[in-house]
Amino acid sequence: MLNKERIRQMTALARYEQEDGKKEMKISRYYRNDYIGLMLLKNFFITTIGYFLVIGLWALWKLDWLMDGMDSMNLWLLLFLLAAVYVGMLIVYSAITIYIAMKKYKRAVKNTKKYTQGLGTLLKEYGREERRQRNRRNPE
Amino acid sequence: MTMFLELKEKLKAIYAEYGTYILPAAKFLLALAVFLSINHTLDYVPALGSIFVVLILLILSLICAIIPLNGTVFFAMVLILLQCTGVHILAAAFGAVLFLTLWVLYLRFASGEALALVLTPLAFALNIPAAVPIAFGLVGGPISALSMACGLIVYYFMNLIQKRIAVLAAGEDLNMLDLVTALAEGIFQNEELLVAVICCTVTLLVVYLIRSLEADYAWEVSVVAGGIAYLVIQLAGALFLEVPVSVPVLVIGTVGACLICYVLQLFVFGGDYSRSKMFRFQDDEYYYYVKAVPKMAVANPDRTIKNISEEELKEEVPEETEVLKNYEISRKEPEEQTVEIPRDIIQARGESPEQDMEPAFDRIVEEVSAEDAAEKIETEPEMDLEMNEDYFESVDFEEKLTDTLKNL
Repeated sequence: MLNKERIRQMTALARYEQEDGKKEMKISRYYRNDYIGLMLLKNFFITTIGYFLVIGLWALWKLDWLMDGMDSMNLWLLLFLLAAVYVGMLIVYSAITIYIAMKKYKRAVKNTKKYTQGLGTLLKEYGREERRQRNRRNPE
Repeated sequence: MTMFLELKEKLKAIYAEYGTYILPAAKFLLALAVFLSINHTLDYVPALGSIFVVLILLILSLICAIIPLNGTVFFAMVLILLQCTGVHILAAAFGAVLFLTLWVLYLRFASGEALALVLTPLAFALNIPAAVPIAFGLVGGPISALSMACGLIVYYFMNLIQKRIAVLAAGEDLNMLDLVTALAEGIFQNEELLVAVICCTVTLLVVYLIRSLEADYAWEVSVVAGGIAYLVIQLAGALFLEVPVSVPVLVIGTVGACLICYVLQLFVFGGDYSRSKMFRFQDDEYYYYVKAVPKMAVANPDRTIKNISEEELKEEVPEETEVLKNYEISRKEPEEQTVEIPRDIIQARGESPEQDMEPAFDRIVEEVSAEDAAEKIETEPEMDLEMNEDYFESVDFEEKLTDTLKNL
């Protein structure tokens, strides 16, 4: 006979496995600091690319100004400003990345734990049924 | 109001039953609308307007129906860039850099906010731009403003290509530097875009803040306030920054957006403030001030109405009599099994046989049967003894003995 409760449990587990579970199980395999470090490394590369894209767009916008004032411009000051913007951008995006990575890691660990507990409950349920069936076959 | 609530209930029931098909169908229609809107705005590559490409767009929309909404965003951006190549390759390259920058700066953190990004250009194309900030103020949060700003940048980029760059690129003496500067200025020095971003952000925040209040009718008020905020900021932008605005289109579009969002808030919230109640209670640590607003609800209108005509009534009568007959039969069955009560017993009890016998009958049967049973229990052993004595007296034992001897 169909066990409705077990079907419900299995549906919830399968749904988690196929939806958020794939990503979250990967995340939960890391140690927290390792995961955050990896995300920061990824963020460093992406933010650097983003920075150059932003600077490129800004340069296109101010192309006339840059061409005209190239000779009289204080290049060191310009480079300092560009570096400051880069560091500032990196700090802001790193902070956002840390915040999001911590939140994601916490949620992943919590959900994976719940998933493992669900699997345990299901296993126990199966064991109980197996014992029941064995008792029915051999009542002594 | 009742009509909307009934519709809400019906839609809920339909979604519960066919949700598996409705969601992909909605995503398909959204993707198709976005792709067709892009093709309509930027129609610069003739090959992309052919029937064959429309078929490809249909297939793309079908793919978008089963993948996450970010897939629609990606394909839409690719389509925009492809159309931009028809204007000038530099326009497409600028567009690619712009979209990549948007992704790197913001969209990589907000993959769940793709709907605001997709709907914003669509709402602007339909002349109901206020609908998006008000709707996302109702259902989303302040973070939706960033997605909306990205959507606005994409929309104004398409507008820029259509209105300025296409004209510039079609000119005979095309200067690359002018083209790039025009593209960059069209995004970074565009007052219209700036006003739109400020307007949408402020509208969204106004709606979000008001609908978060616990005041009565906060959701309805937030929709109206959002509409007014949008109108005021747009008109202020038109006055102070000389942003070209068509006032009748703006007013009609905002009113339409408010109506759409009013219906939306009925679907999303639907609280009945006339029956709201305030409670105040406390425990060891806190005082609680609770406001309970009941949900507006209507009974399920799915009812079957049966017309009962006179003919049907006539037909029903025999059924009733049949039931009554059955009832009588079931009542008579025990009567047949019991003993018949002599009329004299009834008369002896002072009840005439012509009276209505029904109630007396049951009582008397019970009493008589009880009396008989008691009498039976009491008299049975005595009767046995009497019978034995009579039997012994009547038998001639001597004669019987003689007969037996003769037989022997």
